[in-house]
Amino acid sequence: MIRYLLRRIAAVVLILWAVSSMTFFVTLKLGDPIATLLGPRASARDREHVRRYYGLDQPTVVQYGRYMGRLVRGDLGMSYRYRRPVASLIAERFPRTLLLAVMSIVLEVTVGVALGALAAARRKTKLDSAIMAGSFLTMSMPTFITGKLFLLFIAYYAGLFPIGGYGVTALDHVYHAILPASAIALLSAAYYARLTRNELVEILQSDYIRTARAKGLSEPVIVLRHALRNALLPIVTSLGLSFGALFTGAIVTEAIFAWPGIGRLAYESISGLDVPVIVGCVIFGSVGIQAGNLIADLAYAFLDPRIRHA
Amino acid sequence: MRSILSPRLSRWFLLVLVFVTQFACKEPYTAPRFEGAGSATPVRGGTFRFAFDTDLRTLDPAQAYDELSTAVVRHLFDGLVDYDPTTGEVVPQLAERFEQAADGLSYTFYLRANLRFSDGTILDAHAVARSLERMLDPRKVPCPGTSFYHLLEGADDFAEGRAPHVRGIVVRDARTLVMRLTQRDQTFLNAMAMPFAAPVPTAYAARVGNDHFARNPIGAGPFVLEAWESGSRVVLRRNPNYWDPSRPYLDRIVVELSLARHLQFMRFQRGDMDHATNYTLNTADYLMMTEQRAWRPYLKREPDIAMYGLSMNVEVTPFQNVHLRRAVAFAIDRDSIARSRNYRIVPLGGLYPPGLPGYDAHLPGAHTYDLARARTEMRLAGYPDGYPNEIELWLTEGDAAVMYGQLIQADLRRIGIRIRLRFASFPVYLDTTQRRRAVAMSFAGWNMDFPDPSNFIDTLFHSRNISDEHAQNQSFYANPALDALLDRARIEPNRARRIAMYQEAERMLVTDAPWAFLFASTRIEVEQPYVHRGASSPVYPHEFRNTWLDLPRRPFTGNVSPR
Repeated sequence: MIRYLLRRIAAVVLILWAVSSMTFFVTLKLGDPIATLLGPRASARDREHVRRYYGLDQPTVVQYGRYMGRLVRGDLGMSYRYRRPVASLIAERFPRTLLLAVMSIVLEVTVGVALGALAAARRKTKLDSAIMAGSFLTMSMPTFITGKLFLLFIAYYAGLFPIGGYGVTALDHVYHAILPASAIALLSAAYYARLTRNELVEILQSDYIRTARAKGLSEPVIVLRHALRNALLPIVTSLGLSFGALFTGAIVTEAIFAWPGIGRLAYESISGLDVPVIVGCVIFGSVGIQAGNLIADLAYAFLDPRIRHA
Repeated sequence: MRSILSPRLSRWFLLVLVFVTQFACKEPYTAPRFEGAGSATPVRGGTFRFAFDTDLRTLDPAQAYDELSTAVVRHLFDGLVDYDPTTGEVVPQLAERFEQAADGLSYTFYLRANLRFSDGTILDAHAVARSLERMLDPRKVPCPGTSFYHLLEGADDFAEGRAPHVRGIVVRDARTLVMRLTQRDQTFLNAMAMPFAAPVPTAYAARVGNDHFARNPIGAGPFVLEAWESGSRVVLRRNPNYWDPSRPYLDRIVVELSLARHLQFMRFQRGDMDHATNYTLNTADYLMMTEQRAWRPYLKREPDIAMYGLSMNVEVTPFQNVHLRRAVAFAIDRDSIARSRNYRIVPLGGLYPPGLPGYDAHLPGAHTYDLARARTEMRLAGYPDGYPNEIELWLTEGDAAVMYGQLIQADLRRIGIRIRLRFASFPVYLDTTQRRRAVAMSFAGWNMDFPDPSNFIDTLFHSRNISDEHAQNQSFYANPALDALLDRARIEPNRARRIAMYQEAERMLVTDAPWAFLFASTRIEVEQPYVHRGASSPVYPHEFRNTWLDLPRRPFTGNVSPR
């Protein structure tokens, strides 16, 4: 297991190096960060002063070398735009995105698994059809549609929730996060509902369930205590994968709801060609995805002894 | 046919459908929600809220050049001079008075007595001098505006590290500061009114570091920073030690950051925000506001000192040909462009927009829509049957740019010029259009740093602003006669003669047509009925030092007459 872990960590380091290098060079090709930072009104002389201040008058290779040197020491550099360490910017935004991610995961798993279990238990009934049709509909609606609909109907018309933003106190943050988290969760809940239903339908036809029925156990006990536990295995794995992806996928939701998390930071840095922040966000996203994958693999091995032995 | 839903589910489905339809068909905010208490005199107190769709970069006045940073910085820092809200002239602010020497080469500023920064530090002539040197030192802060001050004697030596101080900044006594220039410059006072020149407590900035200072600033403005939550909001609180005890009226200003325009407008309609502008209102919102009688009195339109047009690169084929440039200038129907934007823009035939000194509503030779003239110019250019090759027009991305591009494309097709639209992100657009011989034609604009024609014409058309990369003169137009006229105008002390010289320079431009001047923008603002804006800066529109709220606000009846 330790050798496996070391191999995975080495692969992660290699991937991070490749991703950060690629992002660094691609971003520099998109335009001049200083011209973007200062806009068209700054004179050529002032642009040169500022370029020198940031060390961008050096050849690209030198800039890359310096950047990688800092990166190896765990320093993500300074933002051109905000003149703050990238690590502190990410550290400030991370809890906000984490709050959104945790709330949306709790919502999507709770709602998705409950609906999936209900559909499986009432298989081939109108309720099953309605849940599956509903999940198909919501799976087909991207977050930028559901998000705007939520804002329009629930926040603006009904006035039940704030119109975007982050709020001031801790409780206020949670209140502000309900709509964006629901918009993210709607899409994934539908996926989990379908996944749970399919798994449960298969499991409910297996021999040990038939035995349980023969013993006279009630249907809710059979579904909840015996079948659902086994059906959760693929859900746990896909949860690990989607958790990492949530950090990178938050760009759209955070932009729609003006949620000041990592996604919003990445979006604004890309528009402003703030190279250190862009690379920092990409590294952060990659770490998130890699960690998610690793946790999913380990969880799978932990939950299924056949994989552990293999 | 049987329903796939049970009767119970069908009832639920029907209920939800009715609920949604009810909301979808209802426009909840056809009138303001609140109005003022009816006070005739300014009331102190209250929190004023507005929003931007970008994040705040910096609160260091030496670095603030984008609109949002400038807007917030202007509340935290005062300068030696500022603009009079009614006349637009430069008037004293932290300085009690100032005078220009007879030879025009030096300015003396006399500071008010007992000035202090908000932390209690003394603000005297020494503090102002140190603050200016901090801004002019490229090793200390990356100031994007040092060029405005390069005529200060010794500024270049200081910037290059050849002198420990700027020779031209002389402290005569604690309240008197003299600034000497290497040559006369009639825009120097305008430069001194820019936030770059605002005094900062340099000892504090040096102690905490410039990066920390940019997030935790201390100034001598009407407000102090209470909180700044990155990407979310910035809160300003009244400065209790402000030198002018009559200002500000507001207790607090809250600026919501990175709030998308559609969210800003929703909040404004719901009464959660006090102020909205062009940046808040999209076309549909603007039309809705103009059509609703209750909102109409609170909608204001003012000239925005900004100009837009087509820049034609005179170094690139086919725009070396002046007749072809003129043909383009006379082929574009500016009225149809204004119509497409619901007249939120004003057709423009010359460089200077309305509101800028030097603007001439009857400019001889102004670029107007004149198809016959355009066709004649095409013949003179040697292309009576149209230009044979396709020309690429560069624009930045955005809905408005798409509309402008398509209208220009259709207009130029009528005189036989085929245009291919090339949309680019802002960084790519800047990088390419300001590079020498890279782009034939681009859609461009300019908004003022200060209300003086030199800020438009010098920047965009003086040959000194041509460089191989990042050229502000992006049509690469070089005319020695124009350069000489602009150099004379810049130092001309007589205002009327100076303006006349700039008008003559504008006439040279419309004749040579390195740009086809298209339109000026207007500034649209709407405020809640209980907001009394007060006199606002003619240069910095997001300023609320004279604003007061008629509190307590009450449910809107329409009985309190609009201001």
